[in-house]
Amino acid sequence: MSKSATTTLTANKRRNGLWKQICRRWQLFLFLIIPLAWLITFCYIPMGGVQIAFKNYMPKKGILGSDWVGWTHFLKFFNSFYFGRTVGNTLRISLYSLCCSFPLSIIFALMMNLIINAKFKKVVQTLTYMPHFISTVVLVGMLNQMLNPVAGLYGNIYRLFHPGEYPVDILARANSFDHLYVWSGIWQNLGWNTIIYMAALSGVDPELHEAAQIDGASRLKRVWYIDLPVLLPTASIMLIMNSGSIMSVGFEKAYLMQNSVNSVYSEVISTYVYKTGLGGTTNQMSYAAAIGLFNNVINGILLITVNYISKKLSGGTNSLF
Amino acid sequence: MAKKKHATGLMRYNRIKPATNVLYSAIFITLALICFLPALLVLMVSISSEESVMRYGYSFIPKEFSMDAYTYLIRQGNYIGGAFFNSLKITVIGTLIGLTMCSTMGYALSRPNYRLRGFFTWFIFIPMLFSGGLVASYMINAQILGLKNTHWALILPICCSSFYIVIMRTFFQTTVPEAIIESAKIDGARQVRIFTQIVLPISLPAIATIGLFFTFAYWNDWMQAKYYLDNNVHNLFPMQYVLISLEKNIEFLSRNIQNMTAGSEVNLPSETIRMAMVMVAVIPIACSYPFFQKYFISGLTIGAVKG
Repeated sequence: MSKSATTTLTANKRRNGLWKQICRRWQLFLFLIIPLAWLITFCYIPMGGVQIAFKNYMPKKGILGSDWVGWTHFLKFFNSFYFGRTVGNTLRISLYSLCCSFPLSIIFALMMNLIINAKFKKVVQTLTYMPHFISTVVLVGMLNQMLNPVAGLYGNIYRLFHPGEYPVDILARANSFDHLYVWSGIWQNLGWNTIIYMAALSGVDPELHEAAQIDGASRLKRVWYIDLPVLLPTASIMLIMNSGSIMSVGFEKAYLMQNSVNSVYSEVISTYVYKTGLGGTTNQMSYAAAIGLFNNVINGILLITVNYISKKLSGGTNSLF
Repeated sequence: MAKKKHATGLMRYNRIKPATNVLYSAIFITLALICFLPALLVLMVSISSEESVMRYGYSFIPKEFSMDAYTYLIRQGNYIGGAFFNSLKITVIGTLIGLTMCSTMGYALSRPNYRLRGFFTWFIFIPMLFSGGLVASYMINAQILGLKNTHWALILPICCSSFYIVIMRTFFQTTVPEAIIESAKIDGARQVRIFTQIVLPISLPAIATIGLFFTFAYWNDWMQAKYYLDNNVHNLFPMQYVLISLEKNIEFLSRNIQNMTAGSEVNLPSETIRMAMVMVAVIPIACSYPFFQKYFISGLTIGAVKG
């Protein structure tokens, strides 16, 4: 009896303590109210809305009132013709993109670190960061115009060598979608991705280079044995963060670059979710929600797995959480 | 002084052979040009005359200068000017709301030793791992909150992000000395005063960085418009969305024309106007970029690396 009395007492005390602290530091808690309200409204309530993936959503009955159907929508997706196509396209494009842009940005940062002239470095940085801020709409528009076989730059250059002829329309060839998607992404983000590596490189202790030089190491050797290991922790964090989105190819660019010719290669999960859920005439909201949930769960599992592997390999230092 | 010496020390050991240096410079000049030339080309086409673009295609040196495209855009003031001001309005309001929310939450989380801090940290961390997804968010925003066909639908769903809150929190933790806050407390300042008069002024790099991200995210956004605006509410469309519909129309037309008259003189509609639209969409960004650039590198690296 006395034990339970003590527990209620401590519970009361704790509640009082919390309340007291809120009263005493009310201004601090005031700061939290609006952002917390936002998080609840725009992040947590939609998480609850995920239940429509397991229901047969009817607008009349509302989210809570619709009937439960279990895994029906998931099974429908797994058995559908679009499962293989969208998952395959998503994985192919994002792995291709990761394999090219990840090492390239490290190489680019290492090379940029070798520039001696500070002013020249500044100009190069400013110019290569710039494309990052161009909107996807403008980027895709520019891509279409540059590659236009009749009026675009590509058509013009082709006609310099083959007067009077028109080149093959790259945009109308289905299998060029991957390359256009990935390399325009690299054009846009290569410079931007180096920022974080450059910050890590600027923290290298000059004594390391001094010592290595006295021991007779060439510049290349020092890049390999000093600069690269310094980048490793940052690089593994970036890799973890990227691997969390392997199953999601951005909706924006894929959607804008899609046309009737390349849809076999360009239909990715996010565009398919949009089309089935919101964009079409028959809105199969529950079905689209199920596909989206499947995608999210795979991403979460990938993120946690890669994080775990990285943590184990580095002995607990290189991990996100 | 000590810092300068440090820098020259590093420079000395980064020295490389002149021949290699020339090669490097060539590589970097090429890369910088690749990043810059497309933008220059767009500008040059937009100030060329329509006729010269038709005849010679795109060129870096306009054969005939003309501002026709821009005067056309100004004459279309109702539609394009309206879209421009919609974008401006969304960007300004959204950035202000976003900055307020991320900085206050980041500050509150950066304070040590109070109850619920751990809980709040998890509370902002979970949305980074898992989200409701497009369909659930759409249903909540459009049907329950009733945001469809309003500008709030373009502002509210993206006006805050866990990632930015974490960047802010880390920045406050690492660069604002605890001693300053303590001494302000002893002098009798309350949290609101400490935040607005002490913490915000010394955190300018972080504020500028996050402000820049918000500005660009809102200015460049068209997905929210695609999700939440119906096709008939033209007066609500932001700039980028108008640009897409224009692109789609012209792309469709030009492809069909090419099929009909391959090889002959092709009459593409309003190439220069399209480029002028692109310039109008890019110019506000190009203007604000140098202003922010001084801050964002330090703001981003301090906030993110030590996270």
